Amino acid sequence: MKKNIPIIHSVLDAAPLAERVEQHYDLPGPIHVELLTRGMNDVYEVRDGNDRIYALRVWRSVFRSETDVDYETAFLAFLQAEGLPVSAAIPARGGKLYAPVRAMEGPRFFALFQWADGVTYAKNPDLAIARKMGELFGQMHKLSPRFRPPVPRVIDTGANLRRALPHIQRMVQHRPDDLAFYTEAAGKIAAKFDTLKGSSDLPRGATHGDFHVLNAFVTTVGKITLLDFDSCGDDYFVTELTCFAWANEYVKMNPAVTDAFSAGYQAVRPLTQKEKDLMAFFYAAKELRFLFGFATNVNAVGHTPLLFPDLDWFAASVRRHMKEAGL
Amino acid sequence: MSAATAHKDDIVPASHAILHAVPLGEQIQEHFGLGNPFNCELLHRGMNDFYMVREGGKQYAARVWRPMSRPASDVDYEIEFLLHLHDGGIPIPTPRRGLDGSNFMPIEAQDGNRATALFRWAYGKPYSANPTIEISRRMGEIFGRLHKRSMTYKPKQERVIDRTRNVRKAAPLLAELVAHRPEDAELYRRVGEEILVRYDAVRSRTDLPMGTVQGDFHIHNAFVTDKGEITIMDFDACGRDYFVQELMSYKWSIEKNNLDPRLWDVFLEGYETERPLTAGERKMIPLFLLGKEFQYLNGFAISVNAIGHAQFFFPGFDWFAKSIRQHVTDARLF
Repeated sequence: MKKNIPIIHSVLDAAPLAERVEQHYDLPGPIHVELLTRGMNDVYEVRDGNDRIYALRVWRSVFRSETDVDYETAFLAFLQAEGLPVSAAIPARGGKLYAPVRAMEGPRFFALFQWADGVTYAKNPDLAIARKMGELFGQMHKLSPRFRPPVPRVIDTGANLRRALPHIQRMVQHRPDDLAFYTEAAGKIAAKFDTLKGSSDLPRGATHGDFHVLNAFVTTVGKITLLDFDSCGDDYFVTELTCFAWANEYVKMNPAVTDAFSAGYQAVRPLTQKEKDLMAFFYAAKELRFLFGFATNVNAVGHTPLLFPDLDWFAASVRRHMKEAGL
Repeated sequence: MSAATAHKDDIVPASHAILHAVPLGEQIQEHFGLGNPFNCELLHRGMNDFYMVREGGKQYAARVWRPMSRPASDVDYEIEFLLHLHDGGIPIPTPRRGLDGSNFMPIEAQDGNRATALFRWAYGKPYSANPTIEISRRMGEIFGRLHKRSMTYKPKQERVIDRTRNVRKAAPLLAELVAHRPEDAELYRRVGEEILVRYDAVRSRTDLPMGTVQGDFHIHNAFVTDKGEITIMDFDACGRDYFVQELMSYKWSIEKNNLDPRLWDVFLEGYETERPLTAGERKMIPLFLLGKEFQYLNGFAISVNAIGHAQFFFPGFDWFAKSIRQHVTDARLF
């Protein structure tokens, strides 16, 4: 019998998790918990004794720290208080917006979020809704300077790429050309980020961090809910636009969706000239960030949540976007 | 109390846990005798977990069973059945035996004992990505040959698919799952009771050919290359069953995914070029189709908290309530 293979990630059993929900949240019982999806984190449906439904997210161990969770849930509470349509966390007993839980692989956190009605925007990618979502993001960024986070959460893409480099090198070790190329590309992108630090005319603040067509729910009457702020943090605002645009290219979405989103955004917060000039750079950086993030997390979540990335596709796409960015 | 300081006894048990790919890969490399450069990475978490294993330019898929999900004899049965099919020219992901001749590598993990097997990599994309008439017909032919080939399979230990056992096991779980939908709960209770009676009655029939079947064939369980080469995947649910019951699995997946019904027609045509159905088998189609659908719902009730809605491609309780009622009517169950 082979021994000692550690667990990298566990899916918490629903029944004992329901007991933790009862312990930490003041909800009418009985509490029913049912696993919805295992993605970068795990999401469950929770139904209380009054048939009210919530979404319960259990963050992966190590993947997000307590300060990350604190920042995210506080940001959502802030946005909701300002009138933005987000799915915010429900306060636990004692007022915190999340609760601790221990799993076999280590400490984790969970939170109950308001249930979002509707279906993902991707199921019916309407251009008017895309524009409206762009406007919402423009409003979010304009509100951002007023957000006083309980703890800092700064996104340093350059440093993240350098940290993730060993993971991508392992993943492409059988592709020597890619191995050399990604090592060089990470160095160039990270160096460019170093030169941008403190730039004027390149505003930053609290961002969603990973907005794409699956991260908004829309009802039949056009009510939008923005979801999944798991990657949020203080970053350059323009990354939000390049993130959405790149994800649309990745899933072969109609380019008009990206254009409508961008137009809506700029109707609320016009881009500075520097942001426009650096759009191609941030686009290339987003793509590399996705690929490196995939390499870092693949052994906990597999290829499925990241839609089975194809290394041939990335090899061609990253080279093209690095070239377009003048890198 | 932070998560880090919570007492050890507070650890929430797991319904499913993922093994770390790097140490797992090291043991796979040793057990199956693979060379360098080597890499093992998690590919997919489903009912079991799949890892992509690279050895130089070669690629394999490693399946790691969930703890206690199958006894060792079931894994042996599957691997030997696959090797039997391979020898008969059926396109399947051929297993690779360990250096010691074993069918799989046993693992003692933090959450229990598991088995790991290694398979030839199946190239291409799932059939569901491009479900064509031509490929459907050819898959039918393959299943006809597969069933004929299975008649010569002599397992060391039998593995019988007992659908009634799952119905009994799932009944309380399904009742809990639909507790907020009392009409559905009553419907499923009645269906469960009646299905048990009907399947028990079928056991005495002699006009329903049986053999070893794949056990869960649907539109995601075949890979097709650009050149049209087909590989039939995932024999995890294989065992001895009625051949016509196997066909209902594919027919139902076409209905569930709202695909062109002709895909089923040509699949059956292809199948019957190899093994025509008996009159008795044809008569069983409505009941076995309902049986397949109910089996899926039961499997969902048993495993949802390990797998999740998304992994099951679960179409929702409204969809099931309507579809089961229709199939109950078609099968004249009550």
